[in-house]
This record gives sequence, structure tokens and C-alpha cells, in this order.
Amino acid sequence: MENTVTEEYFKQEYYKPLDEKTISYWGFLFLENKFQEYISTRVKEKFEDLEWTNRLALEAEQALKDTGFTAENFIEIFSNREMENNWRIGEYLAECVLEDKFNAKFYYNSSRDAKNPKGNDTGADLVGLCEVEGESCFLFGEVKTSNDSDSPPNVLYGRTGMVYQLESLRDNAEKRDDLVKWIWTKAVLMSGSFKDECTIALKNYYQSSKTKVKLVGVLVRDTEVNYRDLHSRAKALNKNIPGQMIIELVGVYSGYKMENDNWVKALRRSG
Amino acid sequence: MSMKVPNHWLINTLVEQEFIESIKIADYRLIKASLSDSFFSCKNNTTIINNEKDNALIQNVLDILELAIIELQNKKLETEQEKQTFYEICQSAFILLRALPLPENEVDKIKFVYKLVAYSYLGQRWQDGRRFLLENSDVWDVDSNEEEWDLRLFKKIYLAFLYLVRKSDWKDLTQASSIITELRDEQQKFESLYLQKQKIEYARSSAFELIGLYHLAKAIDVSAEFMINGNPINIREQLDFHFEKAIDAAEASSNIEMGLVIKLLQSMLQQMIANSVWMVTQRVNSRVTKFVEYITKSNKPIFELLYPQRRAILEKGLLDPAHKAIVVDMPTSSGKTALAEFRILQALNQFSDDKGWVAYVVPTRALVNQVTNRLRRDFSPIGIKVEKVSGSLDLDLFEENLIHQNKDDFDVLVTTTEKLNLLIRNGIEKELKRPLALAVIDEAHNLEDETRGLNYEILMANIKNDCPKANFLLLTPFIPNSKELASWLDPDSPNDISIGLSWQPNDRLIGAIYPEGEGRKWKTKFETLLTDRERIQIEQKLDISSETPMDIARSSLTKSKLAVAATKQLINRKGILLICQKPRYCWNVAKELSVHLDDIDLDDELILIKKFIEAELGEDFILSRLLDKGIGVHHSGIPDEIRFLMEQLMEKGKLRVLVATTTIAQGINFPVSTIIMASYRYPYKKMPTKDFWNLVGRAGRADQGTLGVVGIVIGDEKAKKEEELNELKLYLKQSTKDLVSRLVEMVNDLEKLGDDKDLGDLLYIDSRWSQFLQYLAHMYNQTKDLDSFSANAELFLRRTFGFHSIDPSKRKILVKKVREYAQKLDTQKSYATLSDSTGFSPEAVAKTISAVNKLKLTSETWNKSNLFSSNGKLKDLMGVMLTIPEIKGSLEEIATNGGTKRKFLADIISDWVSGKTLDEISRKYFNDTSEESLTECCRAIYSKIVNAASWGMSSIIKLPVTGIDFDKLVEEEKMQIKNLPSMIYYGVNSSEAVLMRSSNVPRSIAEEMGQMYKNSHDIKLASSVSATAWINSLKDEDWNKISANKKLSGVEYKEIWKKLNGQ
Repeated sequence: MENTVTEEYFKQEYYKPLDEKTISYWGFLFLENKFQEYISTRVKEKFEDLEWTNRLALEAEQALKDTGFTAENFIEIFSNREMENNWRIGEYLAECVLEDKFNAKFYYNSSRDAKNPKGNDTGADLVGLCEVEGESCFLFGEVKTSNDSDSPPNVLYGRTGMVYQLESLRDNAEKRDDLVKWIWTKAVLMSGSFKDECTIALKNYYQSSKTKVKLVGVLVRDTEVNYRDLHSRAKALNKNIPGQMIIELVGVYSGYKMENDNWVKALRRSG
Repeated sequence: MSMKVPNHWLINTLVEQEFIESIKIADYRLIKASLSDSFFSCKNNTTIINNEKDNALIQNVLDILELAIIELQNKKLETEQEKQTFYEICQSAFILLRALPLPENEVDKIKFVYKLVAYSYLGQRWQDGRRFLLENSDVWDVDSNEEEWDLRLFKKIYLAFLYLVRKSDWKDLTQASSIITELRDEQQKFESLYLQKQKIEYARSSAFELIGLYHLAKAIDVSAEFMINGNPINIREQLDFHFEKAIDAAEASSNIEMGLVIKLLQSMLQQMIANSVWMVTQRVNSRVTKFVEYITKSNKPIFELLYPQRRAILEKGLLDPAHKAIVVDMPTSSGKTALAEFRILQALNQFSDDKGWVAYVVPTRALVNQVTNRLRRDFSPIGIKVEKVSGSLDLDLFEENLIHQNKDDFDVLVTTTEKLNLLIRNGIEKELKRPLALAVIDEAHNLEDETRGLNYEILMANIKNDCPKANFLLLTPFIPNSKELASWLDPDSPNDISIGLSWQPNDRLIGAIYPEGEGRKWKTKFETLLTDRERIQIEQKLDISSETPMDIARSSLTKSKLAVAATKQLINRKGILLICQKPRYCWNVAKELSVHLDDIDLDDELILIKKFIEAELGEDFILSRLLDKGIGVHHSGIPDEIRFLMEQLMEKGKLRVLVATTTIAQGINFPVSTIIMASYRYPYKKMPTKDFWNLVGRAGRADQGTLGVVGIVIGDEKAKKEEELNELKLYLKQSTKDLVSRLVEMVNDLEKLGDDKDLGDLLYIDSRWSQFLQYLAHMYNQTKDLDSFSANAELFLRRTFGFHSIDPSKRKILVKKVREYAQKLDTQKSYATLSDSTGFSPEAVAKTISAVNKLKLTSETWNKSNLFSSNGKLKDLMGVMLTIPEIKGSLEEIATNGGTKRKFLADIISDWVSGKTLDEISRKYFNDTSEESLTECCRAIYSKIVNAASWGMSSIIKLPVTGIDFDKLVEEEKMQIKNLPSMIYYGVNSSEAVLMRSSNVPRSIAEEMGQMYKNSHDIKLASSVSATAWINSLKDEDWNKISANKKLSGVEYKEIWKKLNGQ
């Protein structure tokens, strides 16, 4: 989707480029009624990938029979097929915005239908590719969705907060390594440009002492646009950035309240 | 096989330099760790492992290797090159990961071990991965008694995995399955509690994580089941199913690391299945299946094939009947014997309708016993019968019985080259009415041996001619031209199975040992050396000791003394082989060493063997004293039986050091941890590099530590040290040359022949020509007439290995001379015939007939009490033997103590046959019973007399001029005469004693036991089969009766006999 097309849906409300004080950050607001349209078309595509895990859940019981272990306790867990909820919408929305506006690429079977409690330490919400100075690089992202009235909202703070997660990725090469291995595992299964681009990103990663990557934090809100949502955190993150790493924050404002399952309803509407 | 950088774009682009550096660091750590209990400079270990900078470098390279592995795991690897690259990458990953410290955190440790073992499998070095489990108890140290279900599950699955990998016996495999079964029961108890504790948004991912682990558990369970009994047949599909489910589940649970590890484990277990011995049975017949069932359940079970074995059987058509000749060239300790066993079974099956049999050819007499025992151990449980014939160059009556009367009594016959040659030429196939199905030629590189090489070649040429159905299996250490060898034997569809130098059973460190320092303050250094054949490429100097190891001045050092010093310092490495150039040096070294070592605890076996040695060689014999220190000695001056016992002790790990000459290279079938060479020369020349590497290949004991050490002593004289070091470096860098026939070099002798001389005269230039002349005589005997021979002369010659390598102009001359020679044979047909039965060249036959004729012998001469008496004709017969080119060489070497040689020899033989003990003979003929004298005595008897004299005797008896009229003799007398050569061979006085000796009964009780047998059996019908069965049935009181008045008790003799018989 080209920029011109995205401008149909949302416009940039604030932007702060990188300087000594802060890392770059943006804020985008969806135009009137465009959020719902975007959700029910663009974002909805992503939800189809979820079918995969639902299928897996269905088959689990049958497949387990051969192992001698029972699936009794899982039936209830898997029976809740309601994948559609606000934070999941937020995640896929973030992916779409990054793809449409920032030329990011995410090419895998969606797997993060579930948060891994231990995985918080090992994973990232978004793992894909982007372009930096014309070359493919890895992109790792965290997404938070919040209707919290505070600015900045709580989801940015604390051990489960976005900033902490981004700092972990910034400071801990091992975590990035695992994500690189994971996406590489996906890439080798696919031929064509994705693998080629991953190869380039790999080279860039390792030849830069594992620093040439982009970390992106996306905050999805249904509140008033406010650069303060991100400003202080953009300052906080502007420390100890190793080598050629780029860290950015993106605020996405829906302009449409998420209460009363509004978002979910919008999703289910046909496009 | 130096470690080069694997050819993968990721490695080449990102970490090429770092790769080489990291491998060096890893090897450096390996050396330190392996030698920390012996080398002084390796003792302090901890600082190395904690070097963060090095660890980071290694981890960096490992990351890239992992990425390469992820990529290649996904590709279908088609070409050999692609597969090799993949193996190299995985092997490197294994080596690097092994060099990193084992994590303390249990979960991290588990992931570490999973990866390490997986890399070892994918790098085709599973035996190294397994060894890691055996050597590091920390690996097993995991507290699986967790309350949290996911951790409990994770850890217990890991433990099951460890048992699956270790599989020391089937119990380990059932243990792996039991753990999984236990987990199924525990699921009820622990799972719901665990799931209830999870936050609702994490519930699905936790569930998926468990599902992944359940599938992993099942995969391990079903793998264990398959390794035990080869079921289910669709194991590969089942594994793929469960692993794919596990990977999907890991994906769904967002557990990235788990997904990666499981993917590795999938490849690893598929590899384990591919390695499994059961894979062999999927292609073949019932005999092989029975064999596999047996070896998986035996005391030292084999569940998995090593990489070279797998390739040979499953990829390279070892068992494919289309190949008539297969040459297997592999490093020592690659499991060639198992390959031979599979091939033997396949051949027996292929020819079972014709009742085909197999000949297993070994290079030395001593090995006949060893190999027979091994084959019997493996084959009798499945009903395959293995027999041996002695190394003597004739069939004694009992061996004739074995072959003629008890026609179906053996499936496999173990024998030497010369003996089989004789059997083939005398029409054994026709006698048996059973075709030779397969000839297994062990240590086939001996084709190159200076003295005996031609025997190998001629043997195979004869087999090709006389046994049309026979297949060949040649086993050899690495030779570059195995294809050529195979094509010689089967031009249509030869098969050479070679893994070149790209695989080794274990890592080895080769270096020079020399002293540094002055006066009485010197230390032993170990300088590692680079060779093309070893993976480890590190140059460094290590201190073996921190102090001067012996109180002796540097200037007084000799290579032997240095070897002793080094051995003393390395004594913690159990199982050291110390090589000396000559038997005499062995004794000196052993004695010197004993001064520096403490006594060991002697168990019953050692006490018994000491007693036996004392009984055979005298109570004061030094070998018994040496055993008190755990030192054994092995060389040609020690009786065969005692050498055999030394080998057994060494194999069982009961000796700390075995001091031996280089002849042991061909004899041992077991690995040692360390080899120290006081010399790398044979007495008269440098050791051929093939022999050197064959010996070096023994270093590295599978259960004793990963690194084998080989140290070559130099620099005892300070001035020569640099020169010797350079010479050694050059020697080690020599590449292995093609295997070449002796004929090529021998043919140059043709130039020395004048035009009026024929090939027969070559015999006096070089006695090796005897074999060739015999070959011609045999071909002559087989063709109808002279014209036919002439027409086919070149064909006969082409049947040898060497002919096609001979210069064309020389070939022409040879063919011409061969035709001329046939004309000569045509005028003396009887000589050609006698050549076949005696194993002498026709010339020698002629000469001997003439000489014996002059002695005017009668039947009386041959009565044993006459023959072996002091005025018997034996000395005259010995005089004749001393003129026969084929045998005089070794007899001449024996030094007399005054008097004529023939009388000397005759007297010794008479005493030997009459039962005098070795120390008595030594005292009488070799001055005294010191170890030097006993060595000379034993060498004279075992290496020279028993072969040469028994061969000479048996050949003379076949000649028409002996004065024996067989028709006029009674059975008893006939038998006695025919057994005379064997009496000399075995050192006993009667036919029944010969029978006992051929069944491994010690000389000191052979007569008595023989007598007992004779009292209840008809000895004319006996063979070693019936004798062995009878001996096995003897009760203790029978043994006691036999050994009354002997130095050992009945029970003790029984024990010794069982050992000698491989029981």
C-alpha cells in the first residue's frame, strides 16, 4: 500500500526526529470513520491466519491420542475460540500500519495468538524486515493497546511495559539472536525475495556486531492525540543505543472508542 | 584431514577468520581438559574455561553455524559435497559447543546438552556425543522432582533422552521408555493444577507448550522401542508426525527456543534411526536378522552403526551380491570386523544351497586364534560354525579330518595366507564339494609387504582361478588406490568403499617427546605436530612434568630411558602402549619402568596368568615380576599363548603399560589411550607410513577419555634433536602412497638373468620368487598341455595385481621367460605337481629330492623315537632344510653356541618335541634363562623353527625318496609319520598331543590330556571340533588328574584353557 493510499485512512499528527534528546517518534490519527473501514478490511486479513492455531487446537486432541497423553484439560481452554479482542486487534493494526506506512514486512504464519508467560522474556510481538538506508534489516517490535486516560499510559511502564521490553531488546543481544534464528527458520522455508531479503538483513545484523536492526514500539490508543504519550519515553529510550541500532516509537490513534466491544464489532463487519 | 573452513556462504562471509581461531581455542581447551591428569602444563584448568573473551568468540561463531544448520536442515542435500559440508558444519558446532562451560542453571544445561548431542549426531560423530554423557556426570545431575508440571515434564523427558543416547544396554532403553510411561501416569496428578494456575490469557500458550512436550516424549519413547527391537517399521513416519506436531505446538506457544531445539532433535533422532543396526535387516535375509537380534542383546551390545559402517552397508552396497570384489579402506577402529561379519553372513546366505563356506585370512599365525575367538563369540549364538586351521604349512591329520570327514562342520575357516594358498592349490573346493563363497582378506595392505606381499597377491590370483564363485572382501586401512585394487579382482562391477581421511573414530594428539634442560635438571616436553591426517591442528609445547622425572644426567639419556620417563609421568592415563624397536629393548625398558612404578593390586586373573608364565618360562622369569607392577611385554620372543594373554589383559584394562615391538601393530584389535614410541623404525628400515598410521590409529580409548595421545621420542642426544624433529615432521607429512605390488619391483631382477638362465634361477637371487614360481607351476598343473599354457601365459600373469603396472617392455620379457619356464616344467612334470603339495618351488623340490636321496632313508628313520634320538637322521634332514631357499633364511638366522648348525637345530627340536620346557631349552642351548636368552630361545623356536622345520618336514615326507612305503604301514604308524611335522610345530611327542595342542591346550599338559582322550575315542576320526567339545565336558577331577605333578592345579589349567579358547 503506497503512502498515498494510507493518507486516505490516517494522517500524521506529530513527528519528532531523532536528536540528542529523544529517539524519533510519530503519531497518526485515523480520519473520521476510516478506522472502522481499515479494521474491517486491511486488519481483518490478518485474522485469517489465526485459523491456523484454531485448527491446531482442534486437532490437538486427536493427535495427542497417539502419544498416550490425554487432552482432557485442554478442551476447555481451546474451546474459547474468541481470538478477537482489543489487544489482538491492536497488534494486527500495528503490523498493518508499519507495513503500509513504513515499508515493513511480516511474512510468517501468525503465531502470536497467545502470549507466552515465560515467553515475555524471549519473544517480541513483531518480528519482520524493514529498510534502513536502502538495505534490508530486521525489525523487532512491541505493541501495546491502551484506553487508559493517563498520558503517558501505564502500559509503557513497569516490567511488562513497552519501554522495558524495548530496553531488553536494546541491551540483550541474546534475545535478538533468538528472534533472528526464529525468522531465519521461517525464511529458509520460503524461496524467493523473502529469503533473499532475510539474507541481507542477516549479513547486516552480524556485520554490525548485531546492532543494525530497528526496534519499534507501537502504542495503539483510542484517546485524544497527545505527543506527551510518547515524548518522555522517547527520551528514556535514547540511552545506550548500541552501534547502528535504530529505535522508534509510533502512536496510532483510532479516533474510535474501543468500549462496548466497538472494535470487535467493527472487525466483524464486512468490508 | 585438517580442519578447513566449511564452504557455506554464511561462514565465508561472516566469520571465516573467527572460525579458525575459535576451533583452535576449542582444541586447546580439549587438550587441556584431556591431559589435566597427566600433563603438568594442563593441570590448572579453570582459568581457561572462564575466559570471557574466548567464550564470546566461540559463541559468535556458533551462532552463525546454527544459522547455517537451520538452512541446510531444510534442504534436501543431493550431492556428496553438500552432505560433507553439512557434516563438517555440524561437527564444528559440536566441537565449539563442547568447549564452552556447561551451564549451571538446569534448564539452560538441558538445552545445551540437547544441542550438543544433536550436533554430534548430525556431524556423524555420535560416539563423541555419547562419550560426553559418559564422561560428564554433571550432565545427569538434574533434579526432576519438580512440583510444576511443565518443568517436571521438561526435565524428565531430558533424562529419558539421556538414557536413549547412552544405551549401554537394553536396560537403558527400557528405562527411557519407563520414564515416559511414568509421565503419562503423572499427567493426571500434576497437569490440571498447573493449568489452573496460569493466567487466562496465557492458558492457550501453556497448553500448546505441554502438547509440544508430549509429542517430544512420544518421539523419544518410540525411538527407544525401535532401537531395542526394530519396531515399528514405519518409525520414520511416526517420528516426523510427532515432531511436526511438536514444532507446530511450540510455534503456537510462542516459545521460539523450544521450536529450534525440537527441530534439531527431529533431525538427530532421524539420524539415530538411520544409524540403527535394524536398518540393515530391512534389506536382507534371516541370517543377518538373527545376527542383529543377537548383537543388540549381547553383553556388549551394538545398537548403532558408526558412520563408516553405515555408509558401507546402507549406502555403498557392502551387502549387494552384484559386487564380487569389495575393498573397504577405513581407519583403524572404524568397526571393520563388524562389516566383515555382515558380509560373511550375506555370502553364506547367498550360497547356502551349495553349502558355500567362507575363508577368513589373517596376516599372522597369532591372529588366527584371536580372530577365531572373536568370530565364534559373535557367530555361535546364531548357529554359524567357525573353525581354524593352524599356521603350519600343512594339514595335520586332524585338520584333514576337519575338512574331509566332517564336511559340514564349519561355515567359516580362519587361516593364514600361506596356508590357504596351499589348501586352494590342493583342490580344497573339490575335496569339500563345497564352493568357496567368500574370501575375507584382513589387513590387505600387506600386499605391499616386502617379504610376504607376493603371497597375498598370488593367493588372490589362485582363488580367482580355482574358485570361480568366490567373492572377495579386502579390509585395509586407508590407501588411495582402493578402486584399482577392487577392479583387479572384479573388473566388471568392483566396489571400493572408502571414506578417505575425512572421518576419525576419535580425536588424537600427535607430538614429539624430548628433554629440555641440562645436567640433572631437565624436563620432558611434548611438542604437538601438524599432520594432514589429524583434525587437531595446533602447534604448542607442553610440559609433561614439572620436575625432572628421573635421577639421571641429560647427557646419559637414551630414547628408551626417555620413553620410560614419559610413561612414568603419564601413568594416570590407563592403557599405555610403549613401542620399542627390538625385543631386547623391550625388556630393558620394562625393567627400568618397573623401578619407577608401584605395585598394583593383583586380582585372580593376574595371579593365575603369572603362575602360568612361571610354569612355562621358569619361576624367576621377569615377566611375572613385571606384572606385579602392571607391566606387560609383547614381542616375537614371547610364546604365542602368553602374548595372547597379554593382549587379553590389555584389552580388559588390567595392564597399565604394555611394552611391545612394532609387530603389535597388526595384532591388536583394541584401542589404547596412549602410545609412546621409543622408536618409529623397524630394525632395518623406517616404518612404512601405512604401518605407522595403522598403529597410531589405535590411540584413543572409547571409554577412557576423548583424546588419544601419541608421543614419539626424539632428542636424547642434544645435538641431534633439531634434525630428528625435522625428520619426524617430514615423516608425518608424507602422504599415503598407492598400494603397489612387489612384483613391479621384483621384475627388475630379470635384468640380472643371463639369456641362458631361466626363471628358476631367480630363486637364488631373491627367495621371494618362490611364490611366483609356484604359481606358474600351479597354472601349469591346471592346463592341459604346454601349448595351452603358452597361449594363456599372459592371461595367468594378468591375474596378478602387479602385472598391469609393470613397464610394457619388461612385461614382454616376463611373458617370454614364463613360456620358457613352462617348457622346463614340462620336462619334469612331477616337480610341478610336488610344488603344489609342498609349497616349494619346483627348483627347491628338485634340489631337496636330490639331497634327501643321498641320505638313503628307510621307513625306520621315520619312527619318532629314532628320528628324535641323538643319532637319528634329524640332523641330516635339518642339513637338507638349510639348503632349501624357501626356508633356510630363517633357520640360518639362529645362532649356534658352537658345533654345526644342523646338529644344533636337530637337538633343539628333539628336546622341544620331547616336552622340555622353554627355560630348560634356553639353559641348554642359549646359555642361561635370563630374559635375553629366553627371548632368543623363544624367537628361535616360535618364529623360526616351528614354521620352517615343520614345513620342511612335511614337504620332505611328501617326496618319493623318503624310503617310506605307506602301503606297508599300519594305521598307527601312518598317522604318526603324517603328524611328525605337527609335533614339531606344537612341541609335543604324540598324535593325541597334537590334537590337544590344536585345540589350544597348553604344552605342559597336552600329552596327558591327549592320552586321556585316546582312551575313550578313536583318534583317527578326531578333529579339533570333537576335541574341543570333549575338553569342554571334562569335570574338575579329570583336570586334576591331568595336571597331577604339574605346576598349576587342574582348575587353574582349565581357566587358562578357557582363556586361550576365548571363553
